Formats: sequence, C-alpha cells, structure tokens
Amino acid sequence: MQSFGQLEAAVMQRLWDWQRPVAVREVLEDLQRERTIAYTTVMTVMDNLFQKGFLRRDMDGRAYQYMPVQTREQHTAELMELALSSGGDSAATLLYFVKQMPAAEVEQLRQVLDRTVLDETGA
Amino acid sequence: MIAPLGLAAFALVVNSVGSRWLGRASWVDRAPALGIVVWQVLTASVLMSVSLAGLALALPLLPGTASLATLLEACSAALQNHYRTPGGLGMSVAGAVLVVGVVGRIVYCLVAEGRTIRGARSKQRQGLALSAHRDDAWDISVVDHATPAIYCLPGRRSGVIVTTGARATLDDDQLRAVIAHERAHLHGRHDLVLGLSGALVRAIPRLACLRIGDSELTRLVEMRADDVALRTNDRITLARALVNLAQGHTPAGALGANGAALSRLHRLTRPPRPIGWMAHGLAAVVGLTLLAIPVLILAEPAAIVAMMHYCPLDI
Repeated sequence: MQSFGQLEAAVMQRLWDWQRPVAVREVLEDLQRERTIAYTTVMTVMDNLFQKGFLRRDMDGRAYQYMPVQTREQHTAELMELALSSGGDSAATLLYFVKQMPAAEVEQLRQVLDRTVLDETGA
Repeated sequence: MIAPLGLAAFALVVNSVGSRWLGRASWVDRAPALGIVVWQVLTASVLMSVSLAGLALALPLLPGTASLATLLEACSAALQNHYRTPGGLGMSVAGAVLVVGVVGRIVYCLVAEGRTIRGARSKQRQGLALSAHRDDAWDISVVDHATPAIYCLPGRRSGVIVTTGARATLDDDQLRAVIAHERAHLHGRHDLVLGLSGALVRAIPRLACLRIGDSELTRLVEMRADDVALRTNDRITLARALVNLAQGHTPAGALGANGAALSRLHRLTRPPRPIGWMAHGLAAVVGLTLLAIPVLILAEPAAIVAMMHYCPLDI
C-alpha cells in the first residue's frame, strides 16, 4: 500500500495537471488505473490536502469539487522563496551550497576562477 | 570572594581577548574542523565560567556545602569561610539568580529555536513531498524551478534537493562534487553546530564570543564541507560548481554575506598548507586548559582543604 505522502503527491499532480474543478470520484478512477485503492482513501487524502491549505473546495450538488489553491509553478516558487529566506529565521534550517548573490559579485568570482585555470594550464 | 572574581576575570579575558584573537587567526581557515571544535570549546569555557562565578557566590546559601566538606573530611567552617562574600546574603542571592538566569535563558532559547527549525523543515518537507521528484540514481530530490539552487534538508529524514535550473547549469562531475559537499553537512551534523551557536547568540546577544563564534562557525562549516567533498572530487570542479551556482537572479534582499563565497573560492583555487599534528596537539592542550581552569578556580579551596588532613585557621 502506498504511503499517504505518496498518495497526496499523486493526487496533487493530477489536480495541477488538469487545472479544473474535480470531484473525488474522477480522481479515484484515474488513480485506479495504476493501483487498487478505495474511494474513502482518496476522499480522506483530498480532505487532508484541503485541511492543509493546498486545495479549496465548493459544494456542487451532493459532492465537493476540488481545485488547487496555487498553480504548480506558484507552489514551487513559494517553496523556493521559503527555502531562500529560511536563512533569516535560522541558518540551521537548511544548508545551501552557496547563496545567490548580485551579478557583480559573481563576476568577481568568475575572474578569480579564470585566472587560476589560466595559471595552472599556462604554467 | 576570590573564586567568583577569578572566574569573572577569566570569562572576561577569554570572551574579549580570546574570541577576537581566534576570529583573526589565519590557521583556522587551514584546519576548519579544528577551528569548529576550538570555537565551541571557547564559548563553553566562557559560559561555564560565568555560571560557575554565580555558583561560587551562591555556595554559602547551599546546605550542601557543610556535607560536601564532611565528605571531603575537611573543615566545613573553614570552607564556608572561604566562600563567604563581603556582600553576605545579598551577593549570594545575586549569584544564584545569575546562574539560574543564564542557564535558564540558554535552555529556553535552545528549545524555542529547535521548535522553530523543526517547524520550518517540516513545512519544506511537506511542500517538497507534493512537488519534487525523486532521482534515485543520484539519491536526490529534484524540484522543477528555473533558479539554480542546491541545498540539504537536515533532520530525521534528511535529503539533498536540486532544482532543474541547477541540473541544467552543472555537468555531472560538478553535480557530484556539490552533492558530496551537501552530504558532508548532513553527516557532520553541521545543522546542530549552527543551531546551537544561533540559539546562543539569541540567548545572550551582547556576548562577543557568541556573536563572533556564530559567524565564524557559519563560515567554517562550509569550508569543512568543501574539504570533505575534495576527498572524492577535484578542487577545480568544485570551484566551477561554486561559481556556476552563484549566479541566478539577484535575490530581493541581496545578502552581502558573500565574502564567504570568495574566501571559499580562494581556498579551492589556492589550497592552503594544512597544519601539522603538533598544532593539533597544542590546540587540544589549550582547549582542555580553557575548560579546566574555571573548574579549578571554583574548586581550589575545597580541593586544598581535602588534601590536608587538618583544618587550617586560614585558607
């Protein structure tokens, strides 16, 4: 049985791909093409995603229609923004290989590197 | 009064002179792993001295000093006499407050910081779980994002995260080198080192050794990870990766903190001589001394009295 995390990801991928309101049943039928899974499981997963703020929903007749709150790009951009700014809260949250910097400073780095490579291959 | 004054003086000297000297020492860049340990020992020494100074003031208040003396077969009255302070009860209470205050504040900040960090990481992990793809060949998570970035997420379920922008910017050798650097952070638990130093700065912002220590440790941890990565990767490869990943869009709050990147690049392009085993030995001796002195200052009278089997009138 797939972990909940993997199911949540599978559901979000479909919602992001389709970009229109969908009911639990439609998501269930698509998931069933790849795995055995119960309606209640999918319902719980989508309810969880709603509680966590990734999906919003409207009552349409007797069933909920779900839509993602953000597009995939917005979600990823926000994730990266959060990751970048985490340095403000605490430097220990995550560790970057190197932080982004203005073009002028990158140019300075590039010059140092080019000089070195030149020295080593030249001499 | 000798013990608390001695301890306070020791703390003062190590904090101001010691941390400034260490902050300017050139050997630190040549042996970052050792530098990390020495900084931690230095801050431990200062914090210990301050706490023990308060404890020394508060000792007369403790009922235990009488029984401590009997345990040591010493003269309890003489011991009490030594630790008595001119200010009497007031000073002792102040000492007790100092110890409780310092230790309490530090513990509080550690717990609070731990909570904040765990919450932020959990949020990252949740977001990544939804949108990142696993690349099992490299054992990384890939995020579809144009800006090149590579970072590691420490913790219980740690991992290295790479954006598609980074994958496009680096070749396989460079990617391998950067991933090795990030894994070095994870294996070395550098997140704990920085989490601790960060919490300490928040706890007592005015203490120089903590402030300087935190910024130095941030630098040293990167150099250490570079050194570990260099065991299995070429230094020019790593240097190229550093420069390639540094560009991208200018961040909104441009962090000027990239003297660090430049000094890392210098280390990679012109590698410094490593320091010898004698220097390591010296550092070990100095470190142990820094930790032993506060304990000795505090315990000196009790130790002396214990060694004598009679009770001197004056210690």
